[in-house]
Amino acid sequence: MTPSVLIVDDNSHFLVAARRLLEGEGMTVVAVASTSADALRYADELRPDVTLADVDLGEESGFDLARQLTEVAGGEERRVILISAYPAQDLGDLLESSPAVGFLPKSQLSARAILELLEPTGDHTAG
Amino acid sequence: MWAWVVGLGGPALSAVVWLPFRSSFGLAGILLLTLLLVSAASVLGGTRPAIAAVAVGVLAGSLSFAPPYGVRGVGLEGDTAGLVALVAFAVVGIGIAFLTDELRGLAEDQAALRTELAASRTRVVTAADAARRRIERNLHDGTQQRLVSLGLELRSAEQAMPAGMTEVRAHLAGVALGLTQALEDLQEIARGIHPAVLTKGGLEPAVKMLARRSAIPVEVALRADGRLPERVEVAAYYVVAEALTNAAKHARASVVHVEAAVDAEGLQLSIRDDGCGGADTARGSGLIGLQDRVESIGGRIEITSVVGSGTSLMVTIPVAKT
Repeated sequence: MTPSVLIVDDNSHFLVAARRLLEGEGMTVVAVASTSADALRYADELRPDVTLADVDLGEESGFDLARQLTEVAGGEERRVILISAYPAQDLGDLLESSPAVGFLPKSQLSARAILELLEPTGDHTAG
Repeated sequence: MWAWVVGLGGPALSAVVWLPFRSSFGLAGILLLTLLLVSAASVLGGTRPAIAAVAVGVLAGSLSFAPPYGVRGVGLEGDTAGLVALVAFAVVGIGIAFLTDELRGLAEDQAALRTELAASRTRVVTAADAARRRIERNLHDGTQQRLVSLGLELRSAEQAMPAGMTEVRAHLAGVALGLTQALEDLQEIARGIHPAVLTKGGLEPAVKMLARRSAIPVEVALRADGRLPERVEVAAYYVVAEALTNAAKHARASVVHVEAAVDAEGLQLSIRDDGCGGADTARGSGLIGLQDRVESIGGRIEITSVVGSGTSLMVTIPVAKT
């Protein structure tokens, strides 16, 4: 089954482009959010299989959001993939210390890349 | 220092000049006393106490000549010479007092100027850093984000192509690839303007990034928990970056050790390589720029580079807010 996705980014162009791309690749984008508060609410209401969170959310931090999302999950597993226009090397150790399941540079975003991070050994065909 | 030289040396010289004209031991004593008074007063107190000292000396001198208190056995000729000496001495003394005051003022001005210069240097560096950070931020939030989104749009368009239009598909894929490469170039430029990792994570992740990117192995040992003031982090980052570049380019080193710790004096940074040494700090190397940068925020760099024993940079940067 294709995982459902919540995308969190403060850049509206990206939200539009990413949604279109992922949906075109057969994924279900349940919602997009541009603030941590919205993201937390949508995560509660819509229970996406994975949340894509930009590390830069204006004044807010995607790292904090990832922590909040995974902390309040209780028994249920909430998975976060951090995304950024920065490549991984520009974020350094910050990624390693995050509870997120992985990181994707925004330019490398694709359904396949998300699936690979979620199920490293699984079947990588979306749709 | 000059105040002392003038305050003591000037009157002493004039006393030596006028001493042959002394008409009695009493006058010589008064001259010397006045000299000491003027010197001490001008050095310690400034112009006005010096003038007062001269006046006291002249008054005492005059009294000593006036009958019946005058020194016995002093001829008219001696008296005249003595009075001339006293008057001249008073003039010289007052002049010296003014000069000393002037010099003191100049020294104070110079000290104030130096302080102002150092502060302005710090401001210039800080403002330049802030400007670079802003440019990087704008590049990232604006241009880079836009290019990323356009790249995704392009891939969406490529997917939406009806099957069979393989040529157009391939063309779009090629454009998307070119866009990604342009984006990477832009990221490299932005990183050179200001390393984002420094703003986000501080010195430790930034130095580790430099270490990973270095052409030669780098051993990193940082004991600087938490964030340091931005100017300190930025200066330390550039020192490490330049040192690693030099070690790879000139030193033919096999390993570089980067260590940092914060103590009472501030951030202590040491970068040592096992290369050929003999780095010339005078030759227009990047080391001079580093020195300027570090000194501009009150720090210092010591570079040791002996031929055959590698190069080491010891850097101290005060951390406290100045």
